[in-house]
Amino acid sequence: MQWSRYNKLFRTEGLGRFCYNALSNTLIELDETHFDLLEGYRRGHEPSGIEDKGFFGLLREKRVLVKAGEEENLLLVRQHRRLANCFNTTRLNLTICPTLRCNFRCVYCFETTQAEGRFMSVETQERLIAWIREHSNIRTLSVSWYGGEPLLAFDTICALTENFLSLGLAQYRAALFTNGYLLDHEKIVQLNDLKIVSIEITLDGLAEVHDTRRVLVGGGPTYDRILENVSALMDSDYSGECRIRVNLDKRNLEGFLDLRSELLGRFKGKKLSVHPELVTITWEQSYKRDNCLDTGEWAGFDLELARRHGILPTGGLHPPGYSYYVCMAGMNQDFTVGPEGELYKCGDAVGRSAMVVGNIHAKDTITHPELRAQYTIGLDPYRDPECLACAVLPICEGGCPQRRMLAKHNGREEIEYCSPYKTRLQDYLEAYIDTVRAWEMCSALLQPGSISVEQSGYRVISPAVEAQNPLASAGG
Amino acid sequence: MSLEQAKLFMEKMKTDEAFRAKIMAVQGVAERLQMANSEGYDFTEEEIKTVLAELGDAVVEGVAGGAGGDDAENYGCREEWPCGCWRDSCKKQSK
Repeated sequence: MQWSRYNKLFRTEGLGRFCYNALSNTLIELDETHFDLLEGYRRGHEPSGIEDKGFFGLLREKRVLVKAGEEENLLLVRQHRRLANCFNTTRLNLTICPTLRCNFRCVYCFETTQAEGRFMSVETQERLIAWIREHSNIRTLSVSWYGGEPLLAFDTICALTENFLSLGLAQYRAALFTNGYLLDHEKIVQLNDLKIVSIEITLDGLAEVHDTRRVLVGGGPTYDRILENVSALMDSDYSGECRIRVNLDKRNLEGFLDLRSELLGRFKGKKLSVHPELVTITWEQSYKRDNCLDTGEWAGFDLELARRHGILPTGGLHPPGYSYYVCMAGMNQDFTVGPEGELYKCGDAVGRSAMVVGNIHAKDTITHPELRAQYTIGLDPYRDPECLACAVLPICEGGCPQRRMLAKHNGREEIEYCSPYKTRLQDYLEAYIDTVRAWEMCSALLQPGSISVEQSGYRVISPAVEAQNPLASAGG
Repeated sequence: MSLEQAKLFMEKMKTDEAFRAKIMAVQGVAERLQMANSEGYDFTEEEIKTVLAELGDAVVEGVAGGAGGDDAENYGCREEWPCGCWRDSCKKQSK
């Protein structure tokens, strides 16, 4: 029996002693005796024996103690499940750019084709429908409308949607990623029929901040008009959700809370949420890299929002449960489709000819099979020695594939792609434990009498997520 | 009376062991809250229940995540579809 490489044994200031295992995603609280027992195992000693069979059973169940080769086998199962998901053919997830033109000139934008006049032609739209039909096994289609600014080609969105709905699939749904400036009443009233269940609109702060960063072609302000449109959206019969994305860097970080407070107050009770996101420089943007937060700084901001303001990171403080996570960049048949029918594996690559993997007009659709294979298989973290040696692989799953591609295969070694858990796991766990403590205390406050706590010396704070066999329902 | 006061009270309970013991030595819930009020924390039972609910949401969020299955609703991302920006995995570039 040996100590798992995915364990983290730690003491905290004022919160106690804990052991976390990333493979089972379990957090266990320990008293001093049980902590010392595990410390002995961690150092390679075999204590005189764990007399508490219950504790030993827990350690085995939660993979804190493992047999030789056991972790490798579990990772193999994970890799198998990941690949099964990658090659699933029952669902098709497309990001479609009906145009790459944009009516904004945001200071940090990574795209270079905003001024070009490329809109998706009728011929390409027809070919797109035919190409989708060729995926004879799909049951569901999900589309993310992207760009450029997709609302510049709203007619194309309408035309394509009409065709998507006539495909006879079990499910079709769409999301819209827009700067919000053109989201007028005429378009709002059509959103439900277009099956757009989610809209993401970006605001970078209150007006005085936003209007220095997200400006019209020619430099005009945009905040007031966007807010009018969001207000109209919230007052409409639109049944989906509105996500306000706030692109943050060192220059507007301090304004996030004011914006969030303003929006959540103004649209209280509505389906609107506000999400902080990171400005990153991965291409040749003129925006200075020094303006941006690195992964560690971002994690610090994330944690401060949680600790001081009760604003949780997306997905919560506790590392998320395993869910066969594969970004669409890694999914074999998912693509971003450009206005000329060109195919990319990630929306962040649009407009860059070197990142094209194919074209729906080509006789053999995939014109660069090696690049597609690189995304689907080459970036598999279970093939990467660095990832396999990392203690947080089970809760990271390799990070952003596009950023890994650029860092590992395009010479862009300065690009970060690892999860914040790699360096800040204990910080996130401590923040979670702090929340649990507060919750327990609040619960005890509201119960009369005293609460007697079973003193077994250890207890599970968070459960493991038991993954089911994907092959039981995979249609691929 | 305010939610903010309720949160400040819970923070005090978390950090001050003597204060916590003093409050919890009182057996009845209403009496405990009265003592909290007399210590300068002005909040109602409803407000502390709201704090409890928010904390409960924070405790469970993300922990039970993971579809654990391969159904039509699971597009592979831990983030709910559509792909927004899962905080530590998918960093779709800012637009």
